Amino acid sequence: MKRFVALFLVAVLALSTVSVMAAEAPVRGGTLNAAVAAKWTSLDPTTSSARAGDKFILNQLYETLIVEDANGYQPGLAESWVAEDKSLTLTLRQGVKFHDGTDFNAEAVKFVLDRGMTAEAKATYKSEVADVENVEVVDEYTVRINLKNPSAVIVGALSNYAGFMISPAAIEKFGEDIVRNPVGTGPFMMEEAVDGDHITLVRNPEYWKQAADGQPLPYLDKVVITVMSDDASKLLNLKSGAISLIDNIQNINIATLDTAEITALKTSATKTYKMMVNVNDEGPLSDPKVRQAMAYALYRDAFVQAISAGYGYIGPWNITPDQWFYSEGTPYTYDVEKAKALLAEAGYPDGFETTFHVTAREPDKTIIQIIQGQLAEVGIKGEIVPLEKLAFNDLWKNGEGKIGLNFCPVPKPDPYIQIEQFFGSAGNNNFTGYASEEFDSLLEQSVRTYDLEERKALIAQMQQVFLTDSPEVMLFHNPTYMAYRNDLHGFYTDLEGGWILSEAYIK
Amino acid sequence: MWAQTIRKLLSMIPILLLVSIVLFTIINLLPGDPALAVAGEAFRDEALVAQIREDLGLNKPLVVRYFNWLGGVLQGDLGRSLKSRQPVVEIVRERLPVTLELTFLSMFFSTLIAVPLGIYAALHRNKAADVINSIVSMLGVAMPNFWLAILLILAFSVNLKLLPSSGYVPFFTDPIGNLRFMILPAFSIGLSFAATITRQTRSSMLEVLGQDYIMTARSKGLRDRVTIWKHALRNALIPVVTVISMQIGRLIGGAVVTETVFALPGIGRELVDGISQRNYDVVMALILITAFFVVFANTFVDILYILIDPRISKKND
Repeated sequence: MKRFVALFLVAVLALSTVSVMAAEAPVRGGTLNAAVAAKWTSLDPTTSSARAGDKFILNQLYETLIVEDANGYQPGLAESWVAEDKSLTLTLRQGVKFHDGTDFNAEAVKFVLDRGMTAEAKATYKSEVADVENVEVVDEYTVRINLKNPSAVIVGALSNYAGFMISPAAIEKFGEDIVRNPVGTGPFMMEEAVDGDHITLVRNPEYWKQAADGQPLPYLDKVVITVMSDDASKLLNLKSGAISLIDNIQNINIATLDTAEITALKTSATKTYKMMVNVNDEGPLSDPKVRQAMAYALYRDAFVQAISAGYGYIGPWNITPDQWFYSEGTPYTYDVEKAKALLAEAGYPDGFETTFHVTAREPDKTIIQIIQGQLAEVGIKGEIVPLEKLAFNDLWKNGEGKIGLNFCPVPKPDPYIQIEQFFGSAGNNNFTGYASEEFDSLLEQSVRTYDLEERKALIAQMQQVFLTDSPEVMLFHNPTYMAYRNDLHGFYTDLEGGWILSEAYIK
Repeated sequence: MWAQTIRKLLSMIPILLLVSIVLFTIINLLPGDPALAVAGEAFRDEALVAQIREDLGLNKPLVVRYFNWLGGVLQGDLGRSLKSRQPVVEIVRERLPVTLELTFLSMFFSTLIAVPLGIYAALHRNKAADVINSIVSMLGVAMPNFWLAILLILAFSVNLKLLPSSGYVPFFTDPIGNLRFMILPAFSIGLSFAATITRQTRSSMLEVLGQDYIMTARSKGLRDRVTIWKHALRNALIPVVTVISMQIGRLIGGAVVTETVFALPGIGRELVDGISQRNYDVVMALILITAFFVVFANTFVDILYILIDPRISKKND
């Protein structure tokens, strides 16, 4: 009897294990319908001008030489690499083909990297590869990148847009039209696209990555990514089941989700909201004491509660706590008395008049209203001028902005990229006109060494210089949440929030 | 009569030309440099932006650029989309049918419902049906079609799961599927359109019914049905047709918002995107096409009057 019971229990256990395993095993086939908020700017990574947004699509079509995850840099299309003082030698993965059947090899890498550095390509990542002297083909699967100066950013750059590999044959075939005819090595190929509306991706049957069952990835047959610029209808589509994955859900809507059907996922992608100040303004704004005063005058918790419904958090700079080069330390707490004292020192005991410039979108408009209210407490008063995005950019580019609102989309693949573009004097996205020799010099030093500890220390110094000069006042970090229906499994995001669908399946 | 018709048709040309000049001027006066839009994140790279501006021919004087554009159009080249370099002719070919279908469907269904309702309301003036008609049409006019669209998705897609919340398939590929995708969008534009039509129909009918010749017809012993259909309706519908044609512009305007909410690949959405990115060629082409349809609709109605209303053609002969 006992033996019978024991055997019976074993049988039940075995069967339940089998059914659990069956439930765990990925299912092949099916179509994933996804939605993103913004239309893609280019299907050619070289000319993408909205890199965080375009990644949702580009990640499926193309792959980078190196991949960055939370643990650091991992092999991508390059199996391994050796970083020396002024060169980076990459050993490429063999047996990989582009979607058009041509081989991925050192010649292809050289072609793509060379092209990205020419003026004609108008590559938006040019500053990240500025230190490259030339690219050498050592043998069929080995490439050496020679640098003018030691440049720690090159590894990060190759894990991002500069490292996306495009088929040289396709570039030659399509010429200018390559922006609409993507040919990469990624898990999916483009079947068709209506510009600005949707793109249909189909499985790449020759994809090099294997699944656990010995067959090539991906599991999905098709992915259709539709552009839905209206937030409300995008969410409704997710709820109705027409869409299974969306690129962003507003914090206030997370509570409305039926968790039995839909999951909200916190990604590492974050928006660091900041108040920008024109440091070259003729008036009070050019005085660092005034800017410091403003930093003391803001009660940041208000933003966390009002804008991010508690999901956000406060940080010293635009670096998030899970990044390896994060360091604590900011003098700014909510201290109205200190703010007033500083203003008095600067010669504005009763405050002054100014203007608040904001892009006409949410949550920017709400944030700037909160700022306007808080700064009024110390006598800094002004009108809010909402502008359309291009007009806003134009205004600041011409040095006519006063106080404005913006955000840093983080993280970036390398600290140099994350800091230089916003705060370096020649930075692409430096709206404030901040140009500090000390800061720039530290920035330069931080990229010339490959030693992570050294870089981290230099970055901590830069943080202090920046906070003292205070050209921008950090407000809060707002992590990006995405949402997907529970029948989607195996879905991941990369550090910037770009979708990784090579292992995704629907069940 | 034919001379008048031809004159009307030819008058469309100077109108459209004038529209194109005004349009070109306005777009180019907008602040914000399209080269910056193309450069996107790299917009502070002066060399890059200058290069883009040169490549796009933006450094030439306005008048030169206008005539270049006009010359291109007359040869069938509507230019290229700024970033994607897709020929605008292709964009129009892909997307215009969607908006046309949407506009046509909303107009068709709302007229189909609104005119009979308006007639019924006029015939049963101040009774229950009339009052309800008034309330519903006031709601239709007041409700923003954007909001109505979202409510419809919530009701019919999310809660009732009867209709899809987004998507599109061309009519000739799958008629039933196409109509299923188009019902909610057509309705959200159509409701305010229907409201206007039904009010116009009702007041027009009432006015005609109050005329002497109707009284005469009735006193002659003609049955009401004959009176209404044969005499009153034809005269009442003339102003209604006018109103319908005047609303075409609004319909296309409504399509802009509706296409965004329902993610339809029409010209409305493309137009909004194009404006915010200063995509000159795309915006010029799409607004001009819209203008063409509006002008054409009005001209068509004018011609219709000439053909069906003897008073008009007699007056001008």
